[in-house]
Amino acid sequence: MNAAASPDDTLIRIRGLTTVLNGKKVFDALDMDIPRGRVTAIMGPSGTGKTTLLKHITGQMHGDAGQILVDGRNVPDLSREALYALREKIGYLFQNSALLTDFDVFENVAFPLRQHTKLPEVLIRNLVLTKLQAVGLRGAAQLMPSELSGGMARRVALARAIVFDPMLILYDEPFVGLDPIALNQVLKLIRTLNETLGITSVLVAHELEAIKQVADHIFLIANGKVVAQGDPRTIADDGSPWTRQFFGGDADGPVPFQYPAGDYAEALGFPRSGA
Amino acid sequence: MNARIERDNVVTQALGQIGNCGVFLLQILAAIPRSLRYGRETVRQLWFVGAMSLTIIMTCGLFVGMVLELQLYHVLSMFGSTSMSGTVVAIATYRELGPVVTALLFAGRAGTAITAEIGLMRATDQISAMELMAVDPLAYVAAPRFLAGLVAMPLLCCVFCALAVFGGHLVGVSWLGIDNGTFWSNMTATVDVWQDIVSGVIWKSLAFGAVVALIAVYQGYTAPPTSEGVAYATTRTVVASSIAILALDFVLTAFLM
Amino acid sequence: MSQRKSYAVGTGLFIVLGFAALAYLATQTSSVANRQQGASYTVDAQFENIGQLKERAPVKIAGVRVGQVQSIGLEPGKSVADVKLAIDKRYADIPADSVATIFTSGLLGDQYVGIEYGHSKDRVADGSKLALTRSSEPLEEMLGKFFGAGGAADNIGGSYRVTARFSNVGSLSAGSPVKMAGVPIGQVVSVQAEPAKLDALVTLAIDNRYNQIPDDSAAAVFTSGLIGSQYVAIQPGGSPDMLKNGDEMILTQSAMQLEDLIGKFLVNGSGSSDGKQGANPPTPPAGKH
Repeated sequence: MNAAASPDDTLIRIRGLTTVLNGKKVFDALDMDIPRGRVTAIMGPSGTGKTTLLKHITGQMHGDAGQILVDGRNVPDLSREALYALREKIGYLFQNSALLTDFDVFENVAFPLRQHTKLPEVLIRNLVLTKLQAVGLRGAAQLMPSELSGGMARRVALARAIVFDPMLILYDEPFVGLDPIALNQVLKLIRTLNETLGITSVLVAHELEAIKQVADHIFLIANGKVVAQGDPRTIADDGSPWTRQFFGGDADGPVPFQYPAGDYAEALGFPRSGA
Repeated sequence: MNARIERDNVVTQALGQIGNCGVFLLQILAAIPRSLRYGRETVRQLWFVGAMSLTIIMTCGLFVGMVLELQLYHVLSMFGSTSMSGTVVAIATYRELGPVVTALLFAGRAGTAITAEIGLMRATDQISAMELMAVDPLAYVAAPRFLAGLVAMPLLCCVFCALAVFGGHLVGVSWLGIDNGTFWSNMTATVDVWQDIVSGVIWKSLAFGAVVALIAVYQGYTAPPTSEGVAYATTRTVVASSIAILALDFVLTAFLM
Repeated sequence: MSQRKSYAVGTGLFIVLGFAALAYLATQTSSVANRQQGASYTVDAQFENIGQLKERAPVKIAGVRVGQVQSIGLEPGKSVADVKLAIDKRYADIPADSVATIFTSGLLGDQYVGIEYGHSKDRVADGSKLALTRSSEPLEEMLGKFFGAGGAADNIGGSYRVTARFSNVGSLSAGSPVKMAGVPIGQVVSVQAEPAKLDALVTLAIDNRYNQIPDDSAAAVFTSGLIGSQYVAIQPGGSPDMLKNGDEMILTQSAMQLEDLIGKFLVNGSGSSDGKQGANPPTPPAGKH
């Protein structure tokens, strides 16, 4: 909370973001400040637009109103070139890793370097092997993406995301489908990268236990708004019905068990009571 | 009543697709200057799209030439002019069969591969990943494949035509016993470089290459990111390409010939 | 990297193969040689009727292509076609009194301009005019020649009989016409096989009016048009003695098979230098064989 208060320490500042998709209001005047140099987690029930929020930050999607300031620049206003320049400073880890299937592990990690620099081959090799070493997969450099397990693929994708030493990494559901060992490896990596390189990290995830180990700050969003935020150890105790349901894992609550529907009795063909 | 509405929808859908395809073409053309620095990628696509299609193109060219020669020999033998059969094989192949059959095979072999590949890249977020790595997928994925199709088609068509003439020679001269000299002299006397080879083989196949590559890339690029969507898109590539090739062939023939 | 290099090599091979195929198509199977427009000079020729002659049609001498039709226009004020011929500089030695004729390749083929050399010492120059021309004959006239003149001789004033031996008479039969210079002068009386000599003995009845036929004249079995009936053509010789009743004609030319004939037309076009042959294709002169 203190971090967010000071503008200098805020890397991403979202103000009044409103987005309507297919007639449904995904974000309703959303405000959010993501502190620099910290690990921030964005949590929320499925379908609340957490991944959509990441896409807004990278400029893949544009909201209908509001500002998204990343490092002081408003993403929706950026030209193509400026947006691409900004993206070079952002690493993005996809849920399904999104490795390029045409290339082996080495070339996948080297891909951003080859596209944006004219570095000599020796330097590229050293950089790529350094990053692969950091994620523990230097030995897998010659494997093709189809030969990797889910956890390994995600670590390769992480190596690719950090190969340019970005200022910000966005993790989209980094823990989904990982066994406990792989999950801990990824957790450790996120923590290490944040501590050693000072990279700001934003995680979108559901796994509360994992988040508690790694995040400095948690936002809970629902119904297009931030409904709760704070320290991972205390956020569950703020007493709001949202946090109680989400962190308690209740089936019904502010997030209804029933998808909005008409009158049940009527749908089954029974006469309405009193008629 | 319902049927009419549905048909209207099909028509408007088709028109919409054509319109989107045209917009997409402009986007690709705009991306071509940016894609020049991915020259290696274009070369790699030329390998997949062109060189890998050689086997089917060569085999089919050979058989088309052989069967044409066989048919023509039996018809022309009624008029005692079997030695013209090679000429007819050459002209028919250069003007129509070469570009059209090559384009249809190209759509089936390379077009579907392009659509499926791009569709899967989209389904597995590789396209998004490129955008986020500040690599323009139009310039890195779409334009090289489009260019490769544009370059590969005329080359493949030339190979197809050469093999067709060779197949015609094989059947006509080696098997049916047409005189070797008259076979070639008739052909060289009748086939015209501009009329038959340039406006037939080259222009037509360039146009077909552009159309097939555009449709294939467009279908892949706009495929719904599911396995079902990719499968549908692949089918649509073949159907749309085939219709476009034959319709365009008529227009081109009317203008070029 | 090695992976990429192999793509580059393979792709290079593919491109080379494609261009090799194009070069093969262009040089080996097409008239690229005929296309080469080297240095040429222009000669005018005026025709009353150019038939189906088109621009870029070949100009031939003795069947050899020497140039092409550059332009076709109408001579102002006259019902005469003005044809400009672009002739290759290599063929500069064309006599000024040469004859330009419009021929047809075969019965239905494309038309071209044939030039027959004259005897003048002067040579045609750039921009000069070929004064002697022969126009295209419409197909109808040609067909009329083949079929229309096929009637039998009127046989007024009796006839005399001569015989001739052929190794092959084709479908010649009794009643077939006998023609000289295309005009019927008699008819075939009988066609008999000669078991001793293994050939056919044909008896011709020739009208008495035509009794001035040299006895060394040649008899040939020809076909009217491509698919017409066959007849005996007499080609006059140079002997002072004339044919008499009961004589045998020594010089004969047998029927050509239809297949050979068609083959000849379609293969060679009317590539021969002989103008009459071009206008009247199915009757190659016997003297040439």
